[in-house]
Amino acid sequence: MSFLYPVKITLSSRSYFFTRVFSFFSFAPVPQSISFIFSAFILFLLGAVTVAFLWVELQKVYAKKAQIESEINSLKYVNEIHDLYNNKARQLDEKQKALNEMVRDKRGILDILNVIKNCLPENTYITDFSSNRGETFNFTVISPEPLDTIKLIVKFREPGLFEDIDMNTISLKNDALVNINLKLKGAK
Amino acid sequence: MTRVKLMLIASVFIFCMDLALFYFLIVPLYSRYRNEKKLTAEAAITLQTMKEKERKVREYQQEVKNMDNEINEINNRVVPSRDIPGIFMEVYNDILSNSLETRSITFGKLVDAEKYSYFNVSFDIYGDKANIDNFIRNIENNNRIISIDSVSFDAESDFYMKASFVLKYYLFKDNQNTWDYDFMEDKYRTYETWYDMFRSFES
Repeated sequence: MSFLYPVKITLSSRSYFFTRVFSFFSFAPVPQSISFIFSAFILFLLGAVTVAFLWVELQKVYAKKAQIESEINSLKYVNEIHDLYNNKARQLDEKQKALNEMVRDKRGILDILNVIKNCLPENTYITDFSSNRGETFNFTVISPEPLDTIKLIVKFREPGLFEDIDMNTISLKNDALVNINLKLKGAK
Repeated sequence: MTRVKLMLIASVFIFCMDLALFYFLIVPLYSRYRNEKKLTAEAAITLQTMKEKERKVREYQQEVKNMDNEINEINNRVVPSRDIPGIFMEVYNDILSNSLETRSITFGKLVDAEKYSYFNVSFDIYGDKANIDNFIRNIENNNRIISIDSVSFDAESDFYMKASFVLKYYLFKDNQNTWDYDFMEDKYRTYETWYDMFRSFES
Protein backbone atom coordinates (compact mmCIF):
# COMPACT_ATOMS: atom_id res chain seq x y z
CA MET A 1 0.00 0.00 0.00
CA SER A 2 2.97 2.28 -0.65
CA PHE A 3 0.99 4.37 -3.15
CA LEU A 4 -1.08 5.78 -0.28
CA TYR A 5 1.98 7.73 0.97
CA PRO A 6 3.68 10.77 -0.55
CA VAL A 7 6.25 9.89 -3.17
CA LYS A 8 9.25 11.98 -4.07
CA ILE A 9 10.58 12.17 -7.64
CA THR A 10 14.32 12.57 -7.88
CA LEU A 11 15.83 15.09 -10.32
CA SER A 12 18.41 12.65 -11.50
CA SER A 13 15.98 10.02 -12.82
CA ARG A 14 13.79 12.24 -15.13
CA SER A 15 14.12 15.20 -17.43
CA TYR A 16 13.74 18.67 -16.07
CA PHE A 17 10.30 19.18 -17.70
CA PHE A 18 8.72 16.12 -16.18
CA THR A 19 10.39 16.93 -12.96
CA ARG A 20 8.75 20.37 -12.94
CA VAL A 21 5.34 19.03 -13.95
CA PHE A 22 5.35 16.24 -11.41
CA SER A 23 7.04 18.19 -8.71
CA PHE A 24 3.68 19.75 -7.95
CA PHE A 25 2.21 16.32 -7.36
CA SER A 26 5.28 14.85 -5.85
CA PHE A 27 4.28 15.59 -2.32
CA ALA A 28 0.58 15.06 -2.98
CA PRO A 29 -0.95 12.11 -1.27
CA VAL A 30 -1.94 9.19 -3.42
CA PRO A 31 -5.70 9.68 -2.92
CA GLN A 32 -5.27 13.12 -4.55
CA SER A 33 -3.80 11.46 -7.66
CA ILE A 34 -6.75 9.13 -7.69
CA SER A 35 -9.10 12.05 -7.35
CA PHE A 36 -7.44 13.71 -10.37
CA ILE A 37 -7.82 10.72 -12.58
CA PHE A 38 -11.30 10.11 -11.21
CA SER A 39 -12.47 13.68 -11.89
CA ALA A 40 -10.88 13.59 -15.37
CA PHE A 41 -12.67 10.34 -16.05
CA ILE A 42 -15.97 11.69 -14.71
CA LEU A 43 -15.48 14.76 -16.89
CA PHE A 44 -14.87 12.49 -19.85
CA LEU A 45 -17.98 10.48 -19.02
CA LEU A 46 -20.00 13.67 -18.71
CA GLY A 47 -18.63 14.80 -22.07
CA ALA A 48 -19.51 11.45 -23.62
CA VAL A 49 -23.02 11.61 -22.17
CA THR A 50 -23.39 15.15 -23.48
CA VAL A 51 -22.23 14.03 -26.92
CA ALA A 52 -24.68 11.14 -26.83
CA PHE A 53 -27.48 13.41 -25.68
CA LEU A 54 -26.69 15.97 -28.38
CA TRP A 55 -26.48 13.28 -31.03
CA VAL A 56 -29.87 11.85 -30.02
CA GLU A 57 -31.38 15.35 -29.96
CA LEU A 58 -29.83 16.10 -33.32
CA GLN A 59 -31.35 12.92 -34.76
CA LYS A 60 -34.73 13.98 -33.38
CA VAL A 61 -34.34 17.41 -34.95
CA TYR A 62 -33.29 15.79 -38.26
CA ALA A 63 -36.34 13.54 -38.14
CA LYS A 64 -38.66 16.44 -37.34
CA LYS A 65 -37.11 18.55 -40.08
CA ALA A 66 -37.46 15.72 -42.60
CA GLN A 67 -41.09 15.29 -41.61
CA ILE A 68 -41.76 19.04 -41.97
CA GLU A 69 -39.96 19.11 -45.32
CA SER A 70 -41.99 16.18 -46.59
CA GLU A 71 -45.17 17.98 -45.49
CA ILE A 72 -43.94 21.15 -47.21
CA ASN A 73 -43.25 19.13 -50.37
CA SER A 74 -46.73 17.67 -50.27
CA LEU A 75 -48.11 21.23 -50.03
CA LYS A 76 -46.00 22.65 -52.85
CA TYR A 77 -49.05 22.83 -55.11
CA VAL A 78 -50.46 25.41 -52.66
CA ASN A 79 -47.51 27.67 -53.37
CA GLU A 80 -47.98 27.16 -57.10
CA ILE A 81 -51.63 28.18 -56.80
CA HIS A 82 -50.67 31.11 -54.62
CA ASP A 83 -48.03 32.23 -57.15
CA LEU A 84 -50.57 31.85 -59.94
CA TYR A 85 -53.02 33.94 -57.92
CA ASN A 86 -50.40 36.67 -57.39
CA ASN A 87 -49.41 36.66 -61.07
CA LYS A 88 -53.03 36.89 -62.18
CA ALA A 89 -53.70 39.71 -59.72
CA ARG A 90 -50.68 41.61 -61.05
CA GLN A 91 -51.67 40.94 -64.66
CA LEU A 92 -55.25 42.06 -63.99
CA ASP A 93 -54.04 45.22 -62.28
CA GLU A 94 -51.75 46.10 -65.19
CA LYS A 95 -54.53 45.42 -67.72
CA GLN A 96 -57.00 47.49 -65.72
CA LYS A 97 -54.58 50.41 -65.56
CA ALA A 98 -53.86 50.20 -69.30
CA LEU A 99 -57.61 49.99 -70.01
CA ASN A 100 -58.27 53.08 -67.90
CA GLU A 101 -55.58 54.94 -69.85
CA MET A 102 -57.20 53.88 -73.13
CA VAL A 103 -60.65 55.02 -71.94
CA ARG A 104 -59.13 58.37 -70.92
CA ASP A 105 -57.49 58.70 -74.33
CA LYS A 106 -60.58 57.67 -76.30
CA ARG A 107 -62.29 60.43 -78.25
CA GLY A 108 -65.82 60.60 -79.63
CA ILE A 109 -67.51 63.16 -81.81
CA LEU A 110 -71.31 62.87 -81.50
CA ASP A 111 -71.60 64.74 -78.18
CA ILE A 112 -69.68 67.72 -79.54
CA LEU A 113 -71.65 67.65 -82.80
CA ASN A 114 -74.85 67.85 -80.78
CA VAL A 115 -73.50 70.79 -78.77
CA ILE A 116 -72.55 72.60 -81.99
CA LYS A 117 -75.96 71.75 -83.48
CA ASN A 118 -77.70 73.37 -80.51
CA CYS A 119 -75.65 76.55 -80.93
CA LEU A 120 -76.56 77.13 -84.58
CA PRO A 121 -79.24 79.82 -85.15
CA GLU A 122 -82.12 78.89 -87.43
CA ASN A 123 -81.31 78.64 -91.15
CA THR A 124 -77.56 78.46 -90.62
CA TYR A 125 -75.81 75.39 -92.04
CA ILE A 126 -72.42 73.78 -91.89
CA THR A 127 -70.85 72.83 -95.22
CA ASP A 128 -67.73 71.14 -93.97
CA PHE A 129 -66.40 70.16 -90.60
CA SER A 130 -63.21 68.68 -89.27
CA SER A 131 -62.09 67.70 -85.81
CA ASN A 132 -58.74 66.72 -84.46
CA ARG A 133 -58.51 64.52 -81.33
CA GLY A 134 -61.99 65.77 -80.37
CA GLU A 135 -60.34 68.94 -79.09
CA THR A 136 -60.20 71.36 -82.00
CA PHE A 137 -63.01 71.85 -84.49
CA ASN A 138 -62.87 73.70 -87.72
CA PHE A 139 -66.00 74.26 -89.76
CA THR A 140 -67.59 76.52 -92.32
CA VAL A 141 -71.04 77.93 -91.63
CA ILE A 142 -73.39 79.53 -94.13
CA SER A 143 -74.70 82.49 -92.19
CA PRO A 144 -77.88 83.99 -93.69
CA GLU A 145 -77.29 87.41 -92.08
CA PRO A 146 -74.39 89.13 -90.22
CA LEU A 147 -76.52 89.04 -87.06
CA ASP A 148 -76.53 85.25 -87.24
CA THR A 149 -72.72 85.25 -87.17
CA ILE A 150 -72.78 87.44 -84.05
CA LYS A 151 -75.41 85.19 -82.45
CA LEU A 152 -73.25 82.21 -83.27
CA ILE A 153 -70.22 83.66 -81.49
CA VAL A 154 -72.27 84.46 -78.38
CA LYS A 155 -74.01 81.06 -78.46
CA PHE A 156 -70.72 79.17 -78.51
CA ARG A 157 -69.83 80.83 -75.20
CA GLU A 158 -72.89 79.37 -73.49
CA PRO A 159 -71.93 75.74 -72.98
CA GLY A 160 -68.66 76.90 -71.40
CA LEU A 161 -66.87 74.16 -73.31
CA PHE A 162 -64.92 76.19 -75.82
CA GLU A 163 -62.39 78.95 -75.74
CA ASP A 164 -63.76 82.24 -77.07
CA ILE A 165 -63.88 82.55 -80.87
CA ASP A 166 -61.33 84.97 -82.20
CA MET A 167 -62.88 86.51 -85.32
CA ASN A 168 -61.26 89.63 -86.74
CA THR A 169 -63.55 90.32 -89.68
CA ILE A 170 -67.28 89.81 -89.83
CA SER A 171 -68.76 89.88 -93.29
CA LEU A 172 -71.81 92.04 -93.77
CA LYS A 173 -72.94 89.98 -96.76
CA ASN A 174 -75.98 87.77 -96.55
CA ASP A 175 -75.36 84.02 -96.90
CA ALA A 176 -71.71 84.55 -96.07
CA LEU A 177 -69.36 81.60 -95.56
CA VAL A 178 -67.98 81.95 -92.03
CA ASN A 179 -65.01 79.85 -91.00
CA ILE A 180 -65.04 78.99 -87.34
CA ASN A 181 -62.27 77.44 -85.26
CA LEU A 182 -63.32 76.09 -81.91
CA LYS A 183 -61.02 74.76 -79.28
CA LEU A 184 -62.05 72.89 -76.18
CA LYS A 185 -61.07 74.66 -72.98
CA GLY A 186 -57.93 73.10 -71.57
CA ALA A 187 -56.96 71.47 -74.88
CA LYS A 188 -53.29 71.74 -75.87
CA MET B 1 7.85 4.67 -13.29
CA THR B 2 5.76 4.53 -10.19
CA ARG B 3 2.06 3.88 -10.25
CA VAL B 4 1.38 7.45 -9.05
CA LYS B 5 3.25 8.91 -12.00
CA LEU B 6 1.36 6.65 -14.35
CA MET B 7 -1.88 7.79 -12.83
CA LEU B 8 -0.87 11.42 -13.14
CA ILE B 9 0.08 10.92 -16.77
CA ALA B 10 -3.25 9.14 -17.33
CA SER B 11 -5.12 12.02 -15.63
CA VAL B 12 -3.38 14.57 -17.87
CA PHE B 13 -4.18 12.39 -20.90
CA ILE B 14 -7.84 12.08 -19.91
CA PHE B 15 -8.06 15.85 -19.33
CA CYS B 16 -6.65 16.34 -22.80
CA MET B 17 -9.24 13.92 -24.09
CA ASP B 18 -11.90 15.92 -22.22
CA LEU B 19 -10.72 19.10 -23.91
CA ALA B 20 -10.62 17.40 -27.31
CA LEU B 21 -14.08 16.01 -26.66
CA PHE B 22 -15.32 19.46 -25.79
CA TYR B 23 -13.75 21.32 -28.70
CA PHE B 24 -13.99 18.73 -31.45
CA LEU B 25 -17.27 17.02 -30.65
CA ILE B 26 -19.46 18.88 -28.19
CA VAL B 27 -18.96 22.38 -29.62
CA PRO B 28 -19.51 21.44 -33.31
CA LEU B 29 -22.33 19.08 -32.41
CA TYR B 30 -24.07 21.73 -30.34
CA SER B 31 -23.56 24.34 -33.02
CA ARG B 32 -25.03 21.98 -35.63
CA TYR B 33 -27.88 21.16 -33.27
CA ARG B 34 -28.66 24.84 -32.79
CA ASN B 35 -28.44 25.47 -36.50
CA GLU B 36 -30.71 22.54 -37.36
CA LYS B 37 -33.14 23.56 -34.65
CA LYS B 38 -33.29 27.06 -36.13
CA LEU B 39 -33.81 25.67 -39.66
CA THR B 40 -36.52 23.35 -38.34
CA ALA B 41 -38.25 26.25 -36.62
CA GLU B 42 -38.13 28.23 -39.87
CA ALA B 43 -39.46 25.24 -41.81
CA ALA B 44 -42.24 24.89 -39.23
CA ILE B 45 -43.21 28.54 -39.78
CA THR B 46 -43.18 27.96 -43.56
CA LEU B 47 -45.33 24.88 -43.07
CA GLN B 48 -47.73 26.83 -40.90
CA THR B 49 -48.01 29.55 -43.55
CA MET B 50 -48.57 26.93 -46.23
CA LYS B 51 -51.24 25.22 -44.17
CA GLU B 52 -52.98 28.57 -43.78
CA LYS B 53 -52.72 29.05 -47.54
CA GLU B 54 -54.03 25.52 -48.07
CA ARG B 55 -57.16 26.39 -46.13
CA LYS B 56 -57.70 29.20 -48.63
CA VAL B 57 -56.74 27.19 -51.69
CA ARG B 58 -60.31 26.89 -52.96
CA GLU B 59 -60.76 30.60 -52.46
CA TYR B 60 -57.58 31.25 -54.46
CA GLN B 61 -58.67 28.87 -57.21
CA GLN B 62 -62.03 30.61 -57.44
CA GLU B 63 -60.30 33.99 -57.43
CA VAL B 64 -57.95 32.87 -60.22
CA LYS B 65 -60.99 31.76 -62.22
CA ASN B 66 -62.71 35.09 -61.64
CA MET B 67 -59.58 37.01 -62.54
CA ASP B 68 -59.20 34.94 -65.73
CA ASN B 69 -62.74 35.90 -66.70
CA GLU B 70 -62.04 39.55 -65.93
CA ILE B 71 -58.82 39.44 -67.95
CA ASN B 72 -60.69 37.88 -70.88
CA GLU B 73 -63.36 40.56 -70.64
CA ILE B 74 -60.69 43.27 -70.61
CA ASN B 75 -58.88 41.60 -73.52
CA ASN B 76 -62.12 41.67 -75.50
CA ARG B 77 -62.29 45.46 -75.08
CA VAL B 78 -59.40 45.83 -77.52
CA VAL B 79 -58.37 44.20 -80.79
CA PRO B 80 -56.37 40.99 -80.27
CA SER B 81 -53.50 42.20 -82.48
CA ARG B 82 -52.72 44.50 -85.41
CA ASP B 83 -54.12 42.00 -87.85
CA ILE B 84 -54.99 43.69 -91.13
CA PRO B 85 -57.40 41.01 -92.49
CA GLY B 86 -59.33 40.88 -89.20
CA ILE B 87 -59.62 44.65 -88.74
CA PHE B 88 -60.33 45.24 -92.43
CA MET B 89 -63.27 42.81 -92.33
CA GLU B 90 -64.66 44.41 -89.15
CA VAL B 91 -64.50 47.96 -90.54
CA TYR B 92 -65.66 46.92 -94.00
CA ASN B 93 -68.61 44.95 -92.64
CA ASP B 94 -69.60 47.94 -90.52
CA ILE B 95 -69.43 50.23 -93.56
CA LEU B 96 -71.48 47.83 -95.69
CA SER B 97 -74.06 47.13 -93.02
CA ASN B 98 -74.79 50.89 -92.92
CA SER B 99 -75.18 51.07 -96.72
CA LEU B 100 -72.09 53.26 -97.03
CA GLU B 101 -69.28 53.17 -99.57
CA THR B 102 -65.56 53.33 -99.25
CA ARG B 103 -62.64 53.16 -101.67
CA SER B 104 -59.75 52.17 -99.48
CA ILE B 105 -58.76 51.60 -95.89
CA THR B 106 -55.26 52.52 -94.73
CA PHE B 107 -53.53 50.94 -91.75
CA GLY B 108 -50.97 52.86 -89.72
CA LYS B 109 -47.97 51.37 -88.00
CA LEU B 110 -48.06 50.00 -84.49
CA VAL B 111 -47.01 52.66 -81.96
CA ASP B 112 -46.02 51.98 -78.36
CA ALA B 113 -47.47 54.26 -75.69
CA GLU B 114 -46.48 53.91 -72.04
CA LYS B 115 -49.08 51.34 -71.01
CA TYR B 116 -50.56 50.19 -74.31
CA SER B 117 -49.95 50.09 -78.05
CA TYR B 118 -52.10 51.55 -80.79
CA PHE B 119 -52.39 51.99 -84.53
CA ASN B 120 -54.52 54.17 -86.78
CA VAL B 121 -56.97 53.10 -89.44
CA SER B 122 -58.01 55.80 -91.89
CA PHE B 123 -60.67 55.77 -94.58
CA ASP B 124 -63.32 57.89 -96.27
CA ILE B 125 -66.94 56.87 -96.40
CA TYR B 126 -69.69 58.18 -98.58
CA GLY B 127 -73.41 57.91 -98.10
CA ASP B 128 -76.59 59.05 -96.48
CA LYS B 129 -76.12 61.42 -93.50
CA ALA B 130 -78.30 59.28 -91.22
CA ASN B 131 -76.28 56.20 -92.14
CA ILE B 132 -73.04 58.03 -91.34
CA ASP B 133 -74.55 59.00 -87.98
CA ASN B 134 -75.38 55.35 -87.38
CA PHE B 135 -71.86 54.32 -88.38
CA ILE B 136 -70.39 56.77 -85.84
CA ARG B 137 -72.78 55.52 -83.17
CA ASN B 138 -71.61 51.95 -83.84
CA ILE B 139 -68.00 53.04 -83.36
CA GLU B 140 -68.67 55.03 -80.20
CA ASN B 141 -70.83 52.33 -78.63
CA ASN B 142 -68.64 49.44 -79.71
CA ASN B 143 -67.52 47.16 -76.88
CA ARG B 144 -64.02 47.59 -78.26
CA ILE B 145 -62.36 50.84 -77.31
CA ILE B 146 -61.97 52.72 -80.60
CA SER B 147 -61.14 56.40 -80.59
CA ILE B 148 -62.23 58.76 -83.34
CA ASP B 149 -58.90 60.52 -83.51
CA SER B 150 -59.88 62.85 -86.30
CA VAL B 151 -62.94 63.22 -88.43
CA SER B 152 -64.09 65.53 -91.17
CA PHE B 153 -67.43 65.90 -92.90
CA ASP B 154 -68.16 67.34 -96.28
CA ALA B 155 -71.81 67.81 -97.19
CA GLU B 156 -72.00 66.92 -100.86
CA SER B 157 -75.78 67.37 -101.06
CA ASP B 158 -78.65 67.78 -98.63
CA PHE B 159 -78.65 64.05 -97.92
CA TYR B 160 -75.32 62.79 -99.14
CA MET B 161 -72.12 63.35 -97.21
CA LYS B 162 -68.47 62.37 -97.29
CA ALA B 163 -66.86 61.59 -93.97
CA SER B 164 -63.15 60.96 -93.43
CA PHE B 165 -62.02 59.12 -90.33
CA VAL B 166 -58.82 58.37 -88.54
CA LEU B 167 -59.71 55.74 -85.98
CA LYS B 168 -57.34 54.74 -83.23
CA TYR B 169 -57.33 51.06 -82.28
CA TYR B 170 -55.79 50.11 -78.96
CA LEU B 171 -54.18 46.88 -77.89
CA PHE B 172 -52.34 45.57 -74.87
CA LYS B 173 -48.62 45.18 -75.12
CA ASP B 174 -48.68 41.55 -74.02
CA ASN B 175 -51.71 40.69 -76.08
CA GLN B 176 -50.81 38.84 -79.22
CA ASN B 177 -53.89 36.67 -79.51
CA THR B 178 -55.02 35.39 -82.86
CA TRP B 179 -58.18 36.42 -84.62
CA ASP B 180 -61.12 34.20 -85.24
CA TYR B 181 -61.80 34.65 -88.94
CA ASP B 182 -65.31 33.94 -90.13
CA PHE B 183 -64.65 34.60 -93.80
CA MET B 184 -62.31 31.73 -94.68
CA GLU B 185 -64.84 29.21 -95.91
CA ASP B 186 -64.23 29.24 -99.71
CA LYS B 187 -62.65 26.45 -101.71
CA TYR B 188 -58.92 26.51 -102.39
CA ARG B 189 -56.53 24.61 -104.68
CA THR B 190 -59.02 24.55 -107.57
CA TYR B 191 -56.28 24.62 -110.27
CA GLU B 192 -54.75 21.37 -111.38
CA THR B 193 -51.34 22.83 -112.26
CA TRP B 194 -49.54 26.01 -111.40
CA TYR B 195 -49.79 27.45 -114.94
CA ASP B 196 -53.58 27.19 -114.93
CA MET B 197 -53.66 30.07 -112.49
CA PHE B 198 -52.32 32.53 -115.14
CA ARG B 199 -54.89 34.41 -117.25
CA SER B 200 -54.76 37.65 -119.19
CA PHE B 201 -56.58 40.62 -117.65
CA GLU B 202 -58.84 41.01 -120.74
CA SER B 203 -60.08 37.42 -120.72
